[in-house]
Amino acid sequence: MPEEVSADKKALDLSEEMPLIEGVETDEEILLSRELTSNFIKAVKAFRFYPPDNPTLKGLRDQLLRKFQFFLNKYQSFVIQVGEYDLSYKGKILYENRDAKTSLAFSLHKDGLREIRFRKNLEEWEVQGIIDILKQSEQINPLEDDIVTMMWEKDFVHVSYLATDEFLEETPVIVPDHVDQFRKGLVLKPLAHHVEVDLAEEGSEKGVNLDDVLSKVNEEPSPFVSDRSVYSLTPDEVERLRKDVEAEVDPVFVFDIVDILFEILILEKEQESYQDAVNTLIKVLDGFLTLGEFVQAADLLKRAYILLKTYILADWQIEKIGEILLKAGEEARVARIGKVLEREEVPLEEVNAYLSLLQKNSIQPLVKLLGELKNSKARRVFCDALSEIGKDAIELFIPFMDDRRWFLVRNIVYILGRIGKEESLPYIQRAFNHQENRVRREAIQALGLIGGQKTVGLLVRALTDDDVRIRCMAAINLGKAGKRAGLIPLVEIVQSKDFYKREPVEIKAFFNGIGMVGSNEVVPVLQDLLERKSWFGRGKTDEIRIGAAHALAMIGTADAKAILEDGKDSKDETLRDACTQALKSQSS
Amino acid sequence: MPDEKPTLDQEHLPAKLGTEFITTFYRLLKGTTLYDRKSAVIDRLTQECLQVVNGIIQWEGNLLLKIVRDHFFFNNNWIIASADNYLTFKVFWQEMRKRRIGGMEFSEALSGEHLKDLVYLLSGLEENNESNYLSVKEQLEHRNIESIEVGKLELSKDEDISIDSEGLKKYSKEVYFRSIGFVKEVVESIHQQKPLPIRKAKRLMQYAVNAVMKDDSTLLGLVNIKNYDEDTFNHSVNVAIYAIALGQRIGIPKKHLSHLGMAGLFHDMGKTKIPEEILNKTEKLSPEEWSIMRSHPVVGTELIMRMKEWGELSARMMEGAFEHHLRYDLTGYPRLTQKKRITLFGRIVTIADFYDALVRPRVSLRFPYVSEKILGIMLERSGKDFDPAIVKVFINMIGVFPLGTLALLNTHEMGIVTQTQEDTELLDRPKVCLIYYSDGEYRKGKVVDLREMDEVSGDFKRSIVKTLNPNEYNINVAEFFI
Repeated sequence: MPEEVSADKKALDLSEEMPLIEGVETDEEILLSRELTSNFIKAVKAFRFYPPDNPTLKGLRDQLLRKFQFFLNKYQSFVIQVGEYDLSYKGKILYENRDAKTSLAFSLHKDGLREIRFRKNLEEWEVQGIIDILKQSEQINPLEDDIVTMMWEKDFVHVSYLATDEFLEETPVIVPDHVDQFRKGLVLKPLAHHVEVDLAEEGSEKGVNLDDVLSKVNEEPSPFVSDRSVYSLTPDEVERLRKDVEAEVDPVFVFDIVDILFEILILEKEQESYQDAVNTLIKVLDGFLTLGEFVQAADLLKRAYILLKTYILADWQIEKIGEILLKAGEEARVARIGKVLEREEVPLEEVNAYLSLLQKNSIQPLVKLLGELKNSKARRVFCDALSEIGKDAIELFIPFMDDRRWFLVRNIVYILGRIGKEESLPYIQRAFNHQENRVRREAIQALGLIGGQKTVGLLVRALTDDDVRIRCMAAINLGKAGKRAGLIPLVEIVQSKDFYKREPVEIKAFFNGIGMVGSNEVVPVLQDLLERKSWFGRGKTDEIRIGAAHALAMIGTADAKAILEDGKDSKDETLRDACTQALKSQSS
Repeated sequence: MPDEKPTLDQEHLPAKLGTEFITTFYRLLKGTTLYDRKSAVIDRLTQECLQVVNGIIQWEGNLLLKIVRDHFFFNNNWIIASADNYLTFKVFWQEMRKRRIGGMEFSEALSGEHLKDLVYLLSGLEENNESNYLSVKEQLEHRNIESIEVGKLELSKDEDISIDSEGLKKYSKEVYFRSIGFVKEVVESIHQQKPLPIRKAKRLMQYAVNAVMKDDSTLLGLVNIKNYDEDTFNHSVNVAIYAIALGQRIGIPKKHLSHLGMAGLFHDMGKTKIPEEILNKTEKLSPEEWSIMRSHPVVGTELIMRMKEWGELSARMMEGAFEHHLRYDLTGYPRLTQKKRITLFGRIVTIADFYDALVRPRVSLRFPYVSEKILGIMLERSGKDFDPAIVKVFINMIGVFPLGTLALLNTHEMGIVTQTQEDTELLDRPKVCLIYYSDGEYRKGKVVDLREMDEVSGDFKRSIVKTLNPNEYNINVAEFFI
């Protein structure tokens, strides 16, 4: 609860709840019990207020455990009596809070707890278990749970309790003390037909004629009675049952309920019940996402799609199944994904498989989460998924183009590029003017992916950008575009007077761009550059020659090849090497 | 026990040896309550146990059995009871716990007399005396038996607050009849569209689990009550109890047992939405009525879906409601289109539901008619309708002569089976409450153990000759469990 940081201090302030001892308490046991109770309450409150990953919590828990162990080693047991508003030990009140909303004693007492006993050898998991229960006590749904029930489920070894269960007696029940009283409760009426038939063999509606079966009873006992092998378990059966139990108690196993829910979606014809099944499936999906079970979550959505595609459904059914797909992409569910990615390593291909099944309504929450993700690989997965989901909804990405986080803008540009729609060009152009070079570079990449005549203008503009990487990318993308409109600016630049001064990587990129266009028209220019003598030092000329040779090889026309073949036999070593390398690369 | 060391892998060997020791030692200990030290039966049981003990000492060097809480450690390996020897372990544990003995160690090969000394010393101990182990030690020292050590059972939690069998019976009855009252309340809640009182159900099922874990025979006796109040209420509680007891035997942990109980308790909730004229119709149902009737698993699942808290518990309850008419081979209803398997909880509830329905009083019968023939029907259908392994566990649980069977003995006495044997070898020799006719009705007599043997002939003193229809004698067997 980060926004309530100031309240934490208040919450842990126990000055009003730990009554002052009048006079001087000399009994060491009482003093220690008071200290222990104080630590106990403090720990419970801290666990209620701080987020679970707060490091303070472990310290508090360990301290409490030590206090318990010290006390229990000395006195064997620590028995807290639970009053309506107070907790006491050996008749001394150690905690008191008469505010029903905040009193720990009250929350225990209202659920029927009257005494908690801690015994020697108390273990860490038990202290944590108690804290976990009490921390949840404020959120318990009183119709479905209580602290006593939760204590029972924990099955503590060194913690026990006394509890009342008056609520069970709200409805009077006669427990017969003797046979006559029992007989009064008997209802002797004929058995309904359906019970008989339920016992029948498949397909039969006549039922088991049990009377026939039992009429034969006045004979010897059934043969199986004396044949123990019939009911002795084989080692394989014992092993199978053991495995079944193991699988059944695995918490993840509860999600097998998905099978039942989809059966209901096929069988049910009532809208209200259908809605219940849909709601439950959404809760199951929440469970999957909370646990990071993306394969299962994806499977659930796939089954919804299959249902839509393979069954004849009424419009209202289609709408309700569609609700699952829509809810899957809502902000709350996307936030769960974020939490899982934050706390653990998750196979990202599984995340991707799930995200790809979401619908357009998930775009906004996913982009919001994308802006918060720290893991670059996860961001990539999100971008790829969004490129799929957003194919026909680029307008949903546009608001994020103005985000103050440059990296998010870059991701959006990447996504728009992957989607490859010309409608996004104005926004990409805007991104090209972004102050952050990495965004501008992404814009150039996106232009390359979108392609088309409309991208050429911007790419040509980028050829003269201040950033060398942008110039390189623009050159390559112009080449990829394969449009002759981009060829002329490229050729003009490589022929320019100072081109040789540029970095080898840029020289290479420009010639690659020219090569990729693949036009025979440019062959004479390249030949000139290849064969031109250097007045400015050998190294730079070499780069030009290599680039030109490589471009010729990429063009690959007969004219281009002939020039390279001639060059291979040249007396000029650099020319010869450049042509030889280019021809090799062409053949490979 | 063969002379050569069994060739099992390291993981399974301690479990096998430990199980053999516990089984034979327990038989011997139990025999001391029936037979004199010099009887031929005790000699035989001693020899059987001795062979196991000395074999283990020969191979392992020593034999150490330790009990920690309700776990057994054999030569420092934790051994778990499997479904078929579950009850032997449990009853042995109860016997040791009662005597506050937490383990024993044999460091050398024993003689038959020394082993007998030990079991008779253990057998004669008073209950709940923490010094028992000291007195056994003293006695062993006094007899110069140095190769045997016994230890104290360290109790934790509230284990030292023991409930006697009468107390447990009363507790079980409370749980049983309160649960019937509860189901009634649930049905009313559904009719009035109120939320389901899940908290109550949980508490009740936790109590039922407590009772079953202490001794399942009391509650399993009470499930012979078949027509108390409305049929559905009674049936739901019975299914819950059978399911918990079955689940316990196959090793389902405590928390999940209460969930299994809930699955049993709520399995038929869908019937609350079926019109009464169909539900109670004794004549043949029309196809339309059938269709409505057979919707109850789906309707029940949907009712559970409306629970506020969705999680492990509601999922289990849905399994019970949806799957209890599905068969092991996936036939039955509702007809499946996608589902490929039935959950363990579903398979358990199906068997519990089937058995309880089969034993219910029928058109021509007023009282439940329990018979081994019913188990025969289940065995016949096992593999097709039911999980065969769970059917076997079920039979091991209720005995081949189930609790409540009215039996004629070879002594011409009549009796009702009131307790099954923990030893699977002796499932056909239950404890029987003899009945006699007086003042116009059958009354309870003494309880006899059909394992008891005649010292002279070596034959069993009593055996079941055949099972009888209680309706012909106007006996409601359920009354013998009240």
